[in-house]
Amino acid sequence: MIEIKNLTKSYIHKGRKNYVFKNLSFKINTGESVALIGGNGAGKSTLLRIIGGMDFPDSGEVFTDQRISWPVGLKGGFQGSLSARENTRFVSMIFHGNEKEKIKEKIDFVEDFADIGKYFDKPFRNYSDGMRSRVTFALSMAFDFDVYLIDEVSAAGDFIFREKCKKALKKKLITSDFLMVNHNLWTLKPLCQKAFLLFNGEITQFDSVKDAIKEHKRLLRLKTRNRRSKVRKLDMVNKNKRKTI
Amino acid sequence: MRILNNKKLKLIIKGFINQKNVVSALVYRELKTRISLVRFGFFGVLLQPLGTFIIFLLIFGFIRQRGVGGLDISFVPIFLISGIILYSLLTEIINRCLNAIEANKALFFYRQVKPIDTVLARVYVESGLFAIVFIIMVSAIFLIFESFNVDNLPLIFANYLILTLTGLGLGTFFMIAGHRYPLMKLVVNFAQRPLFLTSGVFFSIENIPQRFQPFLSWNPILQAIEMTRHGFNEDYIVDPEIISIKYSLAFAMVSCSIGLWVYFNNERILRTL
Repeated sequence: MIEIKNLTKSYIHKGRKNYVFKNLSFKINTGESVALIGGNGAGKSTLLRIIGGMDFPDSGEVFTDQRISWPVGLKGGFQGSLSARENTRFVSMIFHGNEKEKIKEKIDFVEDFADIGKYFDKPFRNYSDGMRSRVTFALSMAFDFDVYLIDEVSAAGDFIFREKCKKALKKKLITSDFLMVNHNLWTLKPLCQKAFLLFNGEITQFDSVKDAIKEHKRLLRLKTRNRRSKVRKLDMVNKNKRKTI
Repeated sequence: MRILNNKKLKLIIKGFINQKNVVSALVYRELKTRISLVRFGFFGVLLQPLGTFIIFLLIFGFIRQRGVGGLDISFVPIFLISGIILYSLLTEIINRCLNAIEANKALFFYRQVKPIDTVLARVYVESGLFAIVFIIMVSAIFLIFESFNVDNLPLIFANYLILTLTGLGLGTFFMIAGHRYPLMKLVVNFAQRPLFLTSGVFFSIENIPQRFQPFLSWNPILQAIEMTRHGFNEDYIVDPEIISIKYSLAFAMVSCSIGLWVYFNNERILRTL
């Protein structure tokens, strides 16, 4: 169970406070996988980062009794000067301390899953984008969490690797829950039972992903139409100004 | 009265184990990056400070042709080495801590890693490395001069530990200060020059005019250095009114408290990338 109460997050830009969301509250029960839907800049990733404990809200709290993963798919958490093997060992040490067998097991898993050959022992900063996403994804699959926060996973990697990712995710879905963000909306449908729609700092709950996507598209269209009409109005104002001059 | 019930105690123990794991992982990362930067593996990491100290010893050893502090010339190498190592220990800890946030930014990705863990790891690595270098240098000097003289080993050990604690407190403080006000990094760098001259690295506080002694003795590095020299050879006399281990301990405690207090109020700012 993840319970979020009165979450407020803002950032300061040019001396002005901009709210990403205000007084957000919702609850995710154990056994539910949820899709988080919203346009660019709606605050999906920020919300994931707050739930994952990487970012702090201005006010409000996140209650949970489960082990929550880091946002899977974000390319962070790797020290550029270390190799993938050393990075994996680092993360394993955080979770397992000095248990040598478990650490070795994790490293073997990641090496096998990422499948980048000799580059596994080269510094991470020299990797290509594809290799990075392979290693980051493999690392998040190596550890067992109750809830996975997933942020735009299927963006990179070749065809075979993407198939492998899907398979691994489906396997994880048996034992744990997902909180997914994805712009490729159709991949959400088979994995999630519920959907949250983030729009203008407010959250709406839907019982099916299909409805949420429909609503999302409607809102997006409305937004762009409004913007267009605003632009048109501005044009008119400018024309009038020119006339008066 | 049951302040701590079983569940709470378990949580606290779990927290400590967690932190221990994180710090050991960070120490691993620290050593790995250090080793990857130099040749010859772990020995290469030691080589750089060893070289610096040997050159320092040669230069100041030639300058100082007379004995020091009422002792003859055979004490000079120990005298100099305890000065330079303790001075470098503290300044190096502070320098490393100043950059701890930037260097480990990527690793705050994992919720378990807290900024203070990076400080703990860096202090641990730094003090460990300098301790090894210290032991190597001292044993080399003893081998060369063939006079074995360690009068008060616990005192040396305690001083080293206290100075490390001071570094921990100051390091935490300056890490936060440097992160919030980048100008602070420059200030710390500049402050190190006069600190080198007033820490008694290459002189004894006995050689300073009487009326300046109390002011110089506020410096915890000077305190630690003089006490360590006294620990090596009890004939090296320190004035108990000016130099005392109580002052060093108090300074360490106060700096750790201030560091922790500042950290407690700023943890969010440090982690929000």
